[in-house]
Amino acid sequence: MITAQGLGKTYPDGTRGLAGLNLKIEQGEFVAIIGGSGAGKSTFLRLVNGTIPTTDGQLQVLDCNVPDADPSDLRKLRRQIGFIFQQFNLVKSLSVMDNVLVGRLGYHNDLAGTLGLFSDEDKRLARQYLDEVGLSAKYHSRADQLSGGQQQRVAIARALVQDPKIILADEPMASLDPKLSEVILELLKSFNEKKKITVIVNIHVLELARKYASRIIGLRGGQLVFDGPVSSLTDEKLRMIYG
Amino acid sequence: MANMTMAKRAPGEKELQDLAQAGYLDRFTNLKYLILVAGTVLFFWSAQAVEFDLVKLWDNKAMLWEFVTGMFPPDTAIAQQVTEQVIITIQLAFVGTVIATIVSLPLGFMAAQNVMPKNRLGSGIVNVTRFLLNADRAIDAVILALFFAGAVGLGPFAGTLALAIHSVGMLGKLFYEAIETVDKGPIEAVESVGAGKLSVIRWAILPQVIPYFVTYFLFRFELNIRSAVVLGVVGAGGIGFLLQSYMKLFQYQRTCTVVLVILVLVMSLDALSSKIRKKLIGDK
Repeated sequence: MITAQGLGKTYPDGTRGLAGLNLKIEQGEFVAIIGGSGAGKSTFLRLVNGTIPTTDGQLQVLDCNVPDADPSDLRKLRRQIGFIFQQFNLVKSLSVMDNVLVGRLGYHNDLAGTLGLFSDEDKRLARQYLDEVGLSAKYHSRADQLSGGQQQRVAIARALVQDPKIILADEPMASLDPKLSEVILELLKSFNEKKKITVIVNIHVLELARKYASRIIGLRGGQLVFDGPVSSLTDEKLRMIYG
Repeated sequence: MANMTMAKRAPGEKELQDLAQAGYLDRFTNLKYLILVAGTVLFFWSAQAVEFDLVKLWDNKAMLWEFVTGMFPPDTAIAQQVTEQVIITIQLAFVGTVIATIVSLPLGFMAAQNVMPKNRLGSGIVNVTRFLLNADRAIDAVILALFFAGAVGLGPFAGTLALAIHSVGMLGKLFYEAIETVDKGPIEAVESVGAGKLSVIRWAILPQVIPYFVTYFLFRFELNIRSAVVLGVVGAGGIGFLLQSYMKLFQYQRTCTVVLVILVLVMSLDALSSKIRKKLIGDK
């Protein structure tokens, strides 16, 4: 599903984001990536959906060879990958419904998308997933009138409406209080189990990583220092990751 | 105390820095006086060139007084005629501003670095568009009106064209500045679902900038009403033309009516549009 071989990323200013990463992630896994800031967690997620170009090695995501992909290949790849951000990244002045419909844009040509020609099926899916994340009453609210936790649930609905094979989540709970963090991870876990969506989540709270993930990847200074099931993450391994 | 004696004996790095700073300040002071002297010379040289003469103004105070007192009471008999011409002036400004806004929209996106691709073609388009907008702002609407009068004849049409074209320079600049300050998060999110370039503009950028665009439209409309009055004076019709005709005929009471109507018109439209603007983007 996701195969990286010698994957590396050096930013134009010379910063090394990731180096020599080898790993394989299978369909239906729930992976937590842990590591300090600057360890390369965000870089990895953004390489996977092609938001930033790779500079070294191989990266195969679904049926796409990412380093060789042209813009249209990347569009096709991205529509199968939901991305959830720390700051939610909703379009604040649009309604909740419109924000979720945005998730369908990858399935329309650019002109139809620009004109907002969403199909009845798009709208049905949007309503369905808003219901599933518990926001049935909020279809027509403006996104910026929702609380942080509600906004992140809209973002999850936006990802789900893509009918994704993979969901990437970059510190999705970092802007939320601990109780809401659990709600968000609970939601991701349920869709991981129900629909076999692969979930990869960057996380800085270790207890949450342990509680929800089946596999943990530890990064440090852009390199893989741990990869294994939650049970094998000992204190000694943790010192290797966080120093 | 101990420190002070130490410092006297052996000047350290800090003292050297202070000395350098003092030298710099000396030079700066000299430069200040030079600028002051040069500015004064420039002022008197220029004032003499434009025949600036307070004595002459004082000697002719009687004529000024006659002009002012002659304006009162304003002549209300021409109210209907004035109202008709005021409406034409507003229409001229409105049509000019609407056309300018329509033209400025694509230009604003073409001049925005965060919209155009980051390659040579993209930055080329950005630079050329910005150059055109700058050049456009440099040419006043009155000059453009005289230019168009040569092509389509003196009148409101030439005035409208002039306002439309002159306004593009400012609106285009304000538009691309607004576009460049949008929150990048939603753009990244909409790109991440596999949306195309135009869809990203429509769904991530446009919703963020629309309130600003409406605000800038209103602001430019205010400015254009004032410009439209001036354009009338040089022959584009409307209230400005009326004003100029009455003054030429020494009909000061009628002139006064026109001036008062312009005053009320401009002030009330300013108040209205600033109210709308505040509602759209808050107190800024």
